[in-house]
Amino acid sequence: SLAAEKKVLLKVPVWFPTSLPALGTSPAWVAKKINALDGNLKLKIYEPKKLVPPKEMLEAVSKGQVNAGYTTPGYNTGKLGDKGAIFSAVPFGPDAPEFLAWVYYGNGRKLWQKTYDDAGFNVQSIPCGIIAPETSGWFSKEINSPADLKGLRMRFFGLGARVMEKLGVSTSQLPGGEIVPALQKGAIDATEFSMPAIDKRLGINKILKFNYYPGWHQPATLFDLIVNKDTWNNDMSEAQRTIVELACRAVMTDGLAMGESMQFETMKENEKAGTQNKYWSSEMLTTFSTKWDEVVAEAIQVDPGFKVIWDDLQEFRANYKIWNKWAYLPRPGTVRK
Amino acid sequence: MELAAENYLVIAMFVSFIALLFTGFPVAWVLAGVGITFAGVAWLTDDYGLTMTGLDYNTLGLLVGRIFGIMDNWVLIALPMFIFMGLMLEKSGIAERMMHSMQKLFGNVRGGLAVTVALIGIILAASTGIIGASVVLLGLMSVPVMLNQEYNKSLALGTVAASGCLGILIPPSIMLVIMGDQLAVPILDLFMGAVFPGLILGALYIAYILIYCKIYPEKAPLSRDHGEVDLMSVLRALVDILPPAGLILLVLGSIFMGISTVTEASGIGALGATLIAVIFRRFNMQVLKEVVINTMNTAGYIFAIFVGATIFALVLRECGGDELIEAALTGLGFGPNGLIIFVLVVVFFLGFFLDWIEISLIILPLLAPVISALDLQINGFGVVEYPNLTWFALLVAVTLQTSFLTPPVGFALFYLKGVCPPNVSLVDIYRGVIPFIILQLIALVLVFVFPELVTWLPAVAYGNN
Amino acid sequence: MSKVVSAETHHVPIATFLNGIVQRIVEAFAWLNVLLALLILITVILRYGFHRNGLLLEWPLVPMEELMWHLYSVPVMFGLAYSITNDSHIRIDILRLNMSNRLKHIFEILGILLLLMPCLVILFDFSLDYTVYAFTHNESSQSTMGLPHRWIVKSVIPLSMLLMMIAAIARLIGEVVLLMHHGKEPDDDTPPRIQMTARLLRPLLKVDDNPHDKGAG
Ligand code: NA
Ligand code: NA
Repeated sequence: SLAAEKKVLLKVPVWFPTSLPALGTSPAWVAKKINALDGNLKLKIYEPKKLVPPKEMLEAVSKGQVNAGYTTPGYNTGKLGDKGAIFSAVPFGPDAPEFLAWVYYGNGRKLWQKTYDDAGFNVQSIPCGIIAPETSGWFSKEINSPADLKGLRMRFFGLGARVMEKLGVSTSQLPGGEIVPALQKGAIDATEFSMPAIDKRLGINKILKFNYYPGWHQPATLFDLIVNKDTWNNDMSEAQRTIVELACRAVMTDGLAMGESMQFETMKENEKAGTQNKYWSSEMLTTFSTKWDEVVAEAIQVDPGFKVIWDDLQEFRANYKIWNKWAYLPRPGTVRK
Repeated sequence: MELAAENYLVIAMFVSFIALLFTGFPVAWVLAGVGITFAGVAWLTDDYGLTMTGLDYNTLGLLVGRIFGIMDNWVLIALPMFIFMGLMLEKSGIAERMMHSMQKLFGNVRGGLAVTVALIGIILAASTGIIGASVVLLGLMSVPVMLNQEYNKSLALGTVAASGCLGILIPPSIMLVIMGDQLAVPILDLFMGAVFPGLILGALYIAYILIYCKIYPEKAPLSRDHGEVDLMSVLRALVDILPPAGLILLVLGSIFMGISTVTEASGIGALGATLIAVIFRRFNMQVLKEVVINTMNTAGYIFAIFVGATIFALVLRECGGDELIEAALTGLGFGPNGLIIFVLVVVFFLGFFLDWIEISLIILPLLAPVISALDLQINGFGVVEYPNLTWFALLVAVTLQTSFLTPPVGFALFYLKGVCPPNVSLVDIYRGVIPFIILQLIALVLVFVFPELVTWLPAVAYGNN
Repeated sequence: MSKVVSAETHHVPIATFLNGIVQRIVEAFAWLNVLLALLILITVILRYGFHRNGLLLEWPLVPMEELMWHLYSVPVMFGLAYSITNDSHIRIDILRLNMSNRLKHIFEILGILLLLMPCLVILFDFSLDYTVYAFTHNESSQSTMGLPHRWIVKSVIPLSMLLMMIAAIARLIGEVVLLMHHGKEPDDDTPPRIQMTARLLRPLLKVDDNPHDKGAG
């Protein structure tokens, strides 16, 4: 009942600075909307590192040292194993509508929560944000064949990094703010981070001229709000939990729409300033895809938990294919050369 | 401004911190202790419904993650490595050799000894960045010689104290490494940005010495036994000066040309200094052991402040300290430039009591969001990523030069007193540094009026890419 | 032995002994800085020499980069304890310079008990838990090619807290004993039965300055 409802302040350290469109603005949007309700639930956003370094967030929330956080499992593979990355983005995997279908109406969300539970983390995960494809990298030179990748040092996210490693790329997963300094210092030669409008905020386009598409490694990327389970179950009322759930569902639309709306202007500006947009040759895409199959085969070998999630996703995708094949136009205007 | 209950906690935290500092207990542990204590206080006041900070015992667990965040910070690896490099040059006697050679070269110039000290200060600066080491080294080697030559006491002491401090400004500088980390500005930008302010400061010192000696020749007599400067002595001097100078060029050059990262250059610098010591036959296990232990010890007490500050900052932040400081600063009603001047004046006066480590680690992070939000219109030539913060960091860095010289707590003063002959009093040193403090303030005004002094070099460097 | 006891001239054997233990341990770990410099050199050679030419690509750099901060963090964290043993932590000593020795001892004792110790105990408690957590959760690097077994480097935090506690206790004992004996002549007429214990707690004349007594700067 409302009378018994406690005042709850969710302190939310975030992974990305709130200045970054979609990645950072999504949690800020959620907080703003919920706080505007003027109810007993408030959210307070803390910029990265202000309360806790992003990498420490999951453990801190699990132990209740801070009661919430905004992240994505792909950033916590050191604690969740590679399977965590499946809930963030799957190379050659589903795009946004299909991903959301699996998460909300397939087994996706259940398996997502189970991944945290099985790894011993006392957190409730609420899917809370999605973005459309990312660009698959910025380079200083044209990449025409797999040989051109050999010896590069590149910032790369999640499971796609495994694919790049197989092609002789030395990858690291730097946080957004460290990418440009690392490029300037020559610590890395190439990078992917996010969508063009987000990459531009970091200044990547000023240093690297060749921007490659499509985003084979992240056709869509999901994020989650994690809340300490004791807070979620014991301190929050049903109404408060519903508010969080609703706001997170709403930001799925908002972040996706924002991301889709703001890329073309940036791409026009980038091209004017000398950026060359490139689409991977079919040879390269086949290479990435073949190596990705190897990565999956290895991951299944190492971790049976990976296989459970992977099989479920594959089964869903096989069925979705029936619908997809008939229902959708080929995406109009896509570059293929 | 209406003060919330939490704000009184913030104010009480600051007051207790400052009061306890003056007991003379180590700064790091005062920071840590005040932080922990006020977490407890906030827990109590939360319980009684007076405040809503959310602090409790469990919250303090965040501290461990924050400390680990210092440990896995790849950028800060450069810190012990640069300390190692400076100590190796000092303890192996390489720096001393360089000093003696230079002295011979300038023996015939009026004020030449003082100019030598300033020049060596610049070279040492570019290598060590450790104030104590440079001041002690310069003091030990040059003060007795200058006094013996009947130099004016104030001139001699002021030159040594001021020149010995250049190391913290001229790159590679451990202060700039820390500032870059705290402000999230590329350290490379700060290094490049510091080149002109550092050189200007060095040039001002030298110009002042030469002009002063021209006007008062009796205050800087020539050496009674100065010999001819012939080709041989020049060559001999070059042999002593070139290797360390070359090492510095190598380290800075490789960073500036984008060949290596700051971390890599620092490691190479440490090994390079060792190699030079070996070549000059100044290397032995005793030297290495001293360098290794002193590096650990120096890094240890600097990182103690890191740890103390992270504890203090977390509790302060949970009590709403960030918002309060932001509101207070923006509520002052200054324009952007007014606010910067106000901050610099505060830093200048804080510098009377604190030194660069505390100011960089406690004050800068609190100011960073306010400064980033200011509409300063600093010319980054379209390529410097954070022109506002880069310029601001360098303004603070130049201001902090004064903190070493301003009484009552001036590290350079203490170190210098420690190595001076007994007939030199602290008052002599105070008197000596005054002109140099004024020169530092002139350099500060120049950097303030011409921000391009900071942003031009990084802009040109990136523009060529 | 007619000299009166003071911090400048006397030390307390048990405190010196405890400090010695901490110093010996930390000095051994200080050599990791040399290893760090060498590791940086090797990485640079691999990166700029071999990888640029497409050689030795199988040799991944990410673990080496992670090893760098592993090596850097140990002497730095242990150095915190070392700086307590030789009293090189930064102090604001304008007022302290003019304080009586008695007042200095009192402030130091209160500071250790009220400011330093609670902090060390709390951090030890949480960091031990933090390390065990990393161990039981089998935590590794979040980089796909990074190092496993994060608990090893995380254990540096509780260990450094432990070293600091020993150093702080040594300092506390020293300060209390010096405060109690301050300005008195050391007494030699302790009954033999408790002499062993008493000897450890009695101020002794310093023979020679500790060579590592001063920080570098
Ligand atoms: Na320097
Ligand atoms: Na001062």
